[in-house]
Amino acid sequence: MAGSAQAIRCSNCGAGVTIRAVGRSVAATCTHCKSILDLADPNLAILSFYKNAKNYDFALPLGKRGKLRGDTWELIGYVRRADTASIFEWDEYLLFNPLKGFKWLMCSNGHWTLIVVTKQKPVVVRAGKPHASYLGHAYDIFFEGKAKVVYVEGEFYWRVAVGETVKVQDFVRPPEVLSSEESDDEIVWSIGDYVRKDEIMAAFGPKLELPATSGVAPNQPSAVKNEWAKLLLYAVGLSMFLVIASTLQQGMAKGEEVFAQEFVYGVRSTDPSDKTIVTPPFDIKGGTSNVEFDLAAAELSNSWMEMELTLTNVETGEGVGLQHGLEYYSGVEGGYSWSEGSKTAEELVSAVPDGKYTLTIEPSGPTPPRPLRYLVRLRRNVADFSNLAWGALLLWLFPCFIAVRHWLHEVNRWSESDYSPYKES
Amino acid sequence: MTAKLNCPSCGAQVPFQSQASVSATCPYCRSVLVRTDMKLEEIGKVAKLMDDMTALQIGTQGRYKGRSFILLGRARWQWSAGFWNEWHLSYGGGASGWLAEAQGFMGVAHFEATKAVPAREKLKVGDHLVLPGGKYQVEDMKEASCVGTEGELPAIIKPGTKKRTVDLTANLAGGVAGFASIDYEDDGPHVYVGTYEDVESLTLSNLRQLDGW
Repeated sequence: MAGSAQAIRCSNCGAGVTIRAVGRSVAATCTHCKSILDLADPNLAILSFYKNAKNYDFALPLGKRGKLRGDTWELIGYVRRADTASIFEWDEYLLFNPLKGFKWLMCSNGHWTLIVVTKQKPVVVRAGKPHASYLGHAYDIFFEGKAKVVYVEGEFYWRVAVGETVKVQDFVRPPEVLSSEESDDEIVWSIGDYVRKDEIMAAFGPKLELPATSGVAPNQPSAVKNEWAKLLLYAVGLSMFLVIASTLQQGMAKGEEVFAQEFVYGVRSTDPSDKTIVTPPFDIKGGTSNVEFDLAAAELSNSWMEMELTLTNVETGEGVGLQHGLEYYSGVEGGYSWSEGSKTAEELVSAVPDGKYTLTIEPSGPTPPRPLRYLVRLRRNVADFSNLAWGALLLWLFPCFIAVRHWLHEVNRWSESDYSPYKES
Repeated sequence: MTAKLNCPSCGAQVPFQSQASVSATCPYCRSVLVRTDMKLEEIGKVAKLMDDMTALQIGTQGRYKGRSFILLGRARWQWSAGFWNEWHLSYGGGASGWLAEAQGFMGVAHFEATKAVPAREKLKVGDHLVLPGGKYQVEDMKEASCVGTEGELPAIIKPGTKKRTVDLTANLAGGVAGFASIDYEDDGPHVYVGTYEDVESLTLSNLRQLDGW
C-alpha cells in the first residue's frame, strides 16, 4: 500500500523503529536504546548513541494526529531545547503532513506557538531599537541568545544531534513571533503564531495533561487588546453622543429669573424675630426643572455670613432647603495684596415642579459694622453639565480598567526580555 | 499529442505526453530510456523508486500563475543532508518546468536562457545575485546524486547522475518568496527561476492517496 509508515531495525539494539515521514525524515531515534540513526544511509549508520540518563516527559505523544488550524498534522519528533546556561528549557514538536510539509509546535512555560519556516527573508534593522521587518510589518526584538538541543526523540528532516547549538533571535508582534536560527552554514527564519491551550486539546486530545501556563508569553496576545480597541471606539462614540445631546439640551436651558431681591443684613440684628425673612409668593412655571440660587454680597469684607434658604410650595407645603455661607477676607502683606473666599455663591437644586412658592431666608453671622446688602436671585432651567460629567466618568471607568489590565499584560510580557520598553536599561 | 513508443527492453508501450520530454523510465521493467527521433534507447535501469511520503504523483494536476499543469515524471535526488524530489511539470504543448519538493516546501521554476551567473566556486551562502525577475540570495549549495526516476523527464537523468546546485531565494513583490536554482553542468550553468508556492495556491488535484491520510 502506498505511503505507509515503514518499520526498520535499529542498527544498535535491533529494536523495531517506525518511520512515519518515509523518504523525508533523515534521522530517527530508536524507541528502545534512543540511538540516533541515519535514514539517508542504506545501512542505517548510527549518528550518535544515547548518553543522557535523564528521562524527559513530554505532553504530546509521538504518532498522534490532530487537526490544528484546518490541517491534519502528525506528531513525529520531539526536541527539548535549553538556553546555553541550561536555566530555561522548552519543548518543540515536529509536525508532518505529506502535502503541507512540516511545522513546529513549541511549548514554553505552558504557552503554545505554531511555527513554520519562511522563505521570505525578514530584514533586521539594527539602528535604534533593533527590530525586524517582515512582509511590511515591524517586529520588536525580544530575545537574543543561544539555544541548544538537550534531548530528542522521534524523526527529523535533518541530522539532529544532542548538543547542537544555534544563535537565536526572537522578534515579537503578538500573536506572532519571528525567529532566526543561525548555525555555521545557514540562517533559518520562521514565523510563529500563538495557539491557545484549548486549541491544542481540541486537536490532540481533550484528556491530555498539558503543562500549566505561567507568566505571559512573548507573543501572547493581550486578552483585552481587541476588546480595548472596540471599547475605546464605543467610549469615544458614546462620549461624543453625550456631549452633543447635553449641549443640545443645555442650549435650550434659558435660565429664566423667577425671583430676585436685595436684602439688608445687620439692621435689626438685636431683634431675632426679624432675622427671618419670608417673601411674598411668586410663580415658578414652565415645567419641572432645576433652580439655581445665586447669592451675592458685594460689600462683604473680612467677614462671613451664612444663609438658610427654604423654597416652599405654598400649595403643597413641600419645600427644599439649603444652607450656604459667604466669606471673604483680604489684606496686604509684604507688599502683596491677598484675598480668600468669595462674595458670591451659586447652588443648584434639581427637579422643582411648577407652583407658587415663597422663599424663607434666615441669615446669620457676625454683626457687620455697616448694614450689609445682599442679593438673592433664583433662576429656573439653567444649563447644568454635571450630569454629563458623571456620565462621562462612568463611561470611562471600564475602559480605564481595561487599559490598566492591558498595560500590566505588556509589562509582564516584557519582564523576561532584555529589551523591555518598561524597564530602565 | 501523446507519442507511444515501445520499450526496447521489455516491449511495453511507453507514453511520451510532452514534446519537451527527452527521457522516460519504463513503468514495467524500469529501464531508463532516451528518445532519439522516433526510437527509444536504453541507457540504464532504475531500482524501484524507494517509497516516500509525498502526496504528489504522476498525473497530479494543478495551476501555476493561471496556467494548468500536470506532473509527468520525477527525479529523486540525494545530498549530504537528505533527499528532495524534482517533478517534471508540463503545461502541454512542449512547455514545461520543475516543481521541487524539499523539506516540506514546494518551489516552481522554469528554465531561463542565461549563462550570466558567477562560477559556483565564487559563490557562498548569503551572496546576492541578480537573476531575471529579481535580486536573489544564495540559500544553500548542494552536491547531489540522482537516486531514482519515474515517468518522463525534460532532461537525461538516470540514477547516479550527479549535479552541483546552488539554491536561491528572493523577497519578491507582494510578499512572494522567489525561488531559483542553478545547476552547474558540464556545458555550463543552467538557471531556473520561479517562486515558492503554498500548496493551496497550486490548487492541486489527483493527489496520491496515502494510508490513513
